Amino acid sequence: MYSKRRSQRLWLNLMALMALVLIASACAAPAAPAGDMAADSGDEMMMEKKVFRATIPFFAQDWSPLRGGGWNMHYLAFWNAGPMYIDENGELHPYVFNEWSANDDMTVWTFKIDPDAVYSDGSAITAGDVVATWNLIAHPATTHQRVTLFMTGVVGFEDVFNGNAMEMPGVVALDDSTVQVTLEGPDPLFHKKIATNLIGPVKASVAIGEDGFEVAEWWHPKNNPVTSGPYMPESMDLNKGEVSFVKNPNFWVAEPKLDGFSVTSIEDRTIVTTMMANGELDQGWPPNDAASQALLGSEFFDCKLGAGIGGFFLNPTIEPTSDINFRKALILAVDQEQIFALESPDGRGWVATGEPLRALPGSDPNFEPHGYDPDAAQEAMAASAYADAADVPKMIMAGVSSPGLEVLAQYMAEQWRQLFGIEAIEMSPQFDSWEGPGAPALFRDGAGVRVPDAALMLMGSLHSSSNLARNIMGGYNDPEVDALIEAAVQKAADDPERIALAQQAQQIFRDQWMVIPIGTGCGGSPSGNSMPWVSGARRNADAQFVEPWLIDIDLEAMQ
Amino acid sequence: MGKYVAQRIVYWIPALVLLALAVYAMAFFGAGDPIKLMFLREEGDVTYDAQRLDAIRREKGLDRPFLVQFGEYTWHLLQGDLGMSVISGRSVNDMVGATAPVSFQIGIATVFLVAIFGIPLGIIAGLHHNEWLDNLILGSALFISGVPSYVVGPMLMVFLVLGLGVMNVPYGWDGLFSTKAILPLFVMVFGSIAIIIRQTRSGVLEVLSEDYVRTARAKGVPEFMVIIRHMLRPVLTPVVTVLGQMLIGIVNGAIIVEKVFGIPGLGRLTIDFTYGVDYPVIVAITLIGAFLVMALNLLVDITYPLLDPRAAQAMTGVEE
Repeated sequence: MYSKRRSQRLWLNLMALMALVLIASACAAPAAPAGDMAADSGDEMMMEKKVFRATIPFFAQDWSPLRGGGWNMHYLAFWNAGPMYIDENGELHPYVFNEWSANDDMTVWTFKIDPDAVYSDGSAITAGDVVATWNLIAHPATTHQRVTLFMTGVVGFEDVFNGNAMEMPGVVALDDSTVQVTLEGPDPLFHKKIATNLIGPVKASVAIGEDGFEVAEWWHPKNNPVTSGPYMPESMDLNKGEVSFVKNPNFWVAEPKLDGFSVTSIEDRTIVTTMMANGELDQGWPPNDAASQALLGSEFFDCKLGAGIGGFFLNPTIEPTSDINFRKALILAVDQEQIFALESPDGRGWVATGEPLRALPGSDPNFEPHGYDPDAAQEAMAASAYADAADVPKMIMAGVSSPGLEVLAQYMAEQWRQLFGIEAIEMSPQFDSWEGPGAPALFRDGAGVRVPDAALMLMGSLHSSSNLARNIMGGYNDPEVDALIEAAVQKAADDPERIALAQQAQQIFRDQWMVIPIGTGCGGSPSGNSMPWVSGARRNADAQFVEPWLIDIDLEAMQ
Repeated sequence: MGKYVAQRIVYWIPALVLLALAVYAMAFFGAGDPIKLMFLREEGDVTYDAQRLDAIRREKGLDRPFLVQFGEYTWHLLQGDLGMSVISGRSVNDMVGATAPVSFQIGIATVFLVAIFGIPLGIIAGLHHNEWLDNLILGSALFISGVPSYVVGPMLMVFLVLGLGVMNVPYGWDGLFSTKAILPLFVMVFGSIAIIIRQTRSGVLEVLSEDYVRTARAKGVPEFMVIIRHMLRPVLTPVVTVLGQMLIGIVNGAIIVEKVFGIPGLGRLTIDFTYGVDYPVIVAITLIGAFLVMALNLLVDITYPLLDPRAAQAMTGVEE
């Protein structure tokens, strides 16, 4: 029999167990790190300490400075010093490297490390560290996401890039403070290409293991990391998405004005708006919607025209977009003014033109965007192999990864349905394959440039070796465009021929009807998306904060 | 009882292994390539190169056959090692160890609050069947259950923070006994309490007409004692089942509330790593979820005899 006494005892035990679990789990929860949001009781003290409170809309778990990507990399300049840096006006500045020179044919570059440049532990940044870092990021095991932008052309890069070697013979340390880079061909702007925090040196003895690979989580404060930027990691709770940094006492350029900065992962952007409006964040990425404009002021969303090209790129290697008349028909059927109205309800920004060189030195004043012309679109469709809509195979529009983009894609699809009767369109944030039946006919993406240079912009977007050409445009490869770009990048930076060749390449690309441009042209806010009480927050085309040691907070204005 | 519990636990082992195999296979073959997604999720001028991606897969051991990878995973699993995240390179044990206690706290606290508020309200509604109090409680319960948490959470935040200015945004997690826990718990309770009120009310209506209740009242037992001694036990039996299921649901998947309030629980971990097809994390979370379902069901089964002697009889096979 299940006795009453036994039943009561079991009941009591269960209640006690439940209470125990509750208490144990409460105790097991990590304590809030010192240096947190304004909501905490110690906030006033934090505010007096001038902590720059930023946020990213992504749950970042990996804070290695060797990844070359991710939302957290927007803040890399705070704690990782690059070889050099380019400011928001495109001017090059020394940083870890304070001197550089090239041989006559621009194939061998020599860089000198600033004798004052030291890590957060006071030890000198050496040429050996630079060589080891660059070899490490070139290797696939490190999963650096943009290494080709900086290291392509260095002798031996391809072998390391594909995991067939560990070291690039083209990068050597001549002595403790001199790095020599040998290129496979001339590159007059190689020094500007490497002016980014995304390839800043790390201390090899800390970050690289005996096996030559990156040490797991060496950058985490629990492992006493050594860094080189104006701030250094203090605490990281990756499960909570909260990291904080404090002033690097050994930073050699200038004393940072802030006592520290913190980054919190906040995926819901409405919460970001609320926190910024309530003075709980100093910088963030709120949505540019009516509610955010009302709460933060419309001037918060001011922007300047940025370089780069974005849009739905057409794949010329698969049907039906391999037919130039079909591509022409699709493009002429889309009203750019309507696209802009959908993207920017408040009218902020500029209508996209599809000019890759827009906003760069070398922008072509004679560039004519493809207009909206339904009649010409129908003529082009009639001239294509798909005059009968029933012959059009299913098209995949890939990269439709947000509600905003879906609206644009739906608008385009509706235009095509009404004008041509095309209905077999699949929209997807991802895709199954670059080739074959699962390959996207249209892919939404874009390309920018870190160095304000026309030839480099096209090398990173239209040249057949670029990611945009190889993948997004399904293997776009025009020998004439390639030849013009290759000739342009070898011209001196101030040679007018450099721009002229780039403009010719751009014109050929335009006439091939390859892209339905989207985007408002906004290249970031002049205030670095910061609240009015923050000064000195400037960002460059590299999406990095420029001279973060100058960022300051006016505590009185914030109150 | 002990034998019954032991038997149930033994049944879990093959079930968990089969589940791990199924989930691992689904993630491996069907959900996509985590390395490809790692690069695809990055906007702009990312280095997307097929050869490079193959090299990364090779470096991470992801190019090996399915059975080799699953065998290695199972071997580590048997040693208590849930593996390493493909995307973050972090230990899954660490990730789950840090997030599971938070989800447990929220789950238990929510269930506790739902029970202490929901059961009395359900009893009151049942005792005042078809009166204005019943209509008020039931109507309110139906109304609040219809408002989703992703609407309630942000709205309350904007209203309390910017409208009334009485608090800062309760974003993040400083433990159950901090002020930041109040709003998320309120939203969780808000969304769940209606179920318990309705369940309890139905139970009360059912037992009101039972002979033993009528007899107790006829004998002049005070109404409060009738409720406590004669009505509560049979009413609570199905309610405990619902509370158990509620706890499982909250611990495993309070995704929206965790996302909105920045709570580092299993739900947030699940959604973030499922997007990235990080299958060591997906399998680990699934196994923990399954284990939780089994354990809580067992707990509910053990609780039944306390509430209903007929259940004890069925469990032990001994007639009372």
